[in-house]
Amino acid sequence: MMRCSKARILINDHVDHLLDNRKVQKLEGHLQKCPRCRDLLAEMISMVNGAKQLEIIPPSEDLWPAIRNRIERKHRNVFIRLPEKRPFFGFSLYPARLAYAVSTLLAAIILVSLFYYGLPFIRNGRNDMSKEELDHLKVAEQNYQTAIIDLDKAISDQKAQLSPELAEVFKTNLGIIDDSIRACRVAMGQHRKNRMANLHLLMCYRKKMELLNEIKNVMMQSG
Amino acid sequence: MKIFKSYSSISILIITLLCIPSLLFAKAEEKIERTYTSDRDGKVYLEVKSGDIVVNSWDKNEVKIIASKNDTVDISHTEGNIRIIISRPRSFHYELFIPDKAHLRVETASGRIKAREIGGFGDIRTVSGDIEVVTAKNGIRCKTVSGDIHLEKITGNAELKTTSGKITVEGIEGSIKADTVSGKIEMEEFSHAEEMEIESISGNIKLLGELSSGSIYEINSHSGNVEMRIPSDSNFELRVETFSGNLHCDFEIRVSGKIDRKNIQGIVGKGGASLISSSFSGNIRITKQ
Repeated sequence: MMRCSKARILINDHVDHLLDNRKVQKLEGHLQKCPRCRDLLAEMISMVNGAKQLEIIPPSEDLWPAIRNRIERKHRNVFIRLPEKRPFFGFSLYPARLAYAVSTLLAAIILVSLFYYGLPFIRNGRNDMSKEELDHLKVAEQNYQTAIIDLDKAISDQKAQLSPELAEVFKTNLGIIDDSIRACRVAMGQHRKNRMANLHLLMCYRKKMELLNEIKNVMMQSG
Repeated sequence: MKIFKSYSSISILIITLLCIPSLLFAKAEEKIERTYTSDRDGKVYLEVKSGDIVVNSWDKNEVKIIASKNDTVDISHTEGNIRIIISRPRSFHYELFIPDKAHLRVETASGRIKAREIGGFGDIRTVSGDIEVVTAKNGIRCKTVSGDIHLEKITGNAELKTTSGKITVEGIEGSIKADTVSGKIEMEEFSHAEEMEIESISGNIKLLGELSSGSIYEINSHSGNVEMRIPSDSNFELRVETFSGNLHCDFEIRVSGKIDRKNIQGIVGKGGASLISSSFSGNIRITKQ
């Protein structure tokens, strides 16, 4: 005897004529005995027929240009992110330290991991995250922390190169970001699965990483 | 008492006399002008270690730099493009004139940069100093750490980044990407943005302009407040959410997803533009102009 839950799935496909004969026979057997599923099928058939009679509304004139613009923009962005031609429009190459190179590589990996792990959750509209999503975010967070430690090490030996005013600006702003990270952690202590708290924590980590990268770049310039 | 008075007068006189040579020396630092032929729409690059820079454009196929006679000026000239690198231990006030359609890139480690009437793309970078651009016709990118960024009358896309400075924009037709940690962001009269992406940690964000159909506006703040004032007949899809801040929207919303104290999803008018805003503890207000 087929269950109603299975029958409901098959009804969907049946309305769209996607079932093979064997499944149709099974479904019909269930429908003969189940008035609720019969009603559901009748309702769906009437909905589909009703939908077929609806007038087709053409999209607004600016829809296709807007979609084309977005595709072109994404395409342009790929080129914008390619390395610039340094010989004319750029600083001359500075001797890069290994730590800088490693931290930059890590930063790139982290950004990719954020994109991979973080983005799918930004737009899903739910308040809570599933365990799987939380596991992914935890991996992203660990990667951030590794990159931050690495960047911190890379710049800590050479902080003296910064002017006192600039060092103060960086210190203050790193402090603001650290406070924000702590606020997110407190929130997550109370609502571990909360999507907003998790996403803002990642945003703060990304900001911290960007700021440490900025400090590194300023040091490279002044060095 | 009388002796004390005369002593103080004498000391003031001595200090003044001591200052005169240095004032004379400062005044005496001789300026030089160098002019080079370039393409009208070529690229002009100026790198200065330290100093304020003023950039103006003119309707000539020439680049002119006004620097100090004591500067070491390294010029390279390739296919109508000019690259100028000035090394100098002390700060100075530089002036640069570029063709009215030229692309510009200016960098200084410490100093203010002011640019006017840039015809090509402008890329302006300083570490500790303000950036001011009035009229750029083909997009702009500005980056500073501790300084403010002020833009007026911009056509084309703008990418703006500062750490602690304030970002203000008055009049822009194009997409905007603005990023700060603790600085405020204020934008007025924005229009024709295909995309707007604004992010701040603790700085407040204030936006006043109109939404374009089919465009995406994404504004994220951690603890700063977000305030957006848009025309009362705007059409957009709205998604705003906060963890512990307050949400306020003046517009009548047709709810398409969730609506509660921390989360609003719906359509205003006919939809068209997408307005997405998120905060952790900052308040989000969307009001009618």
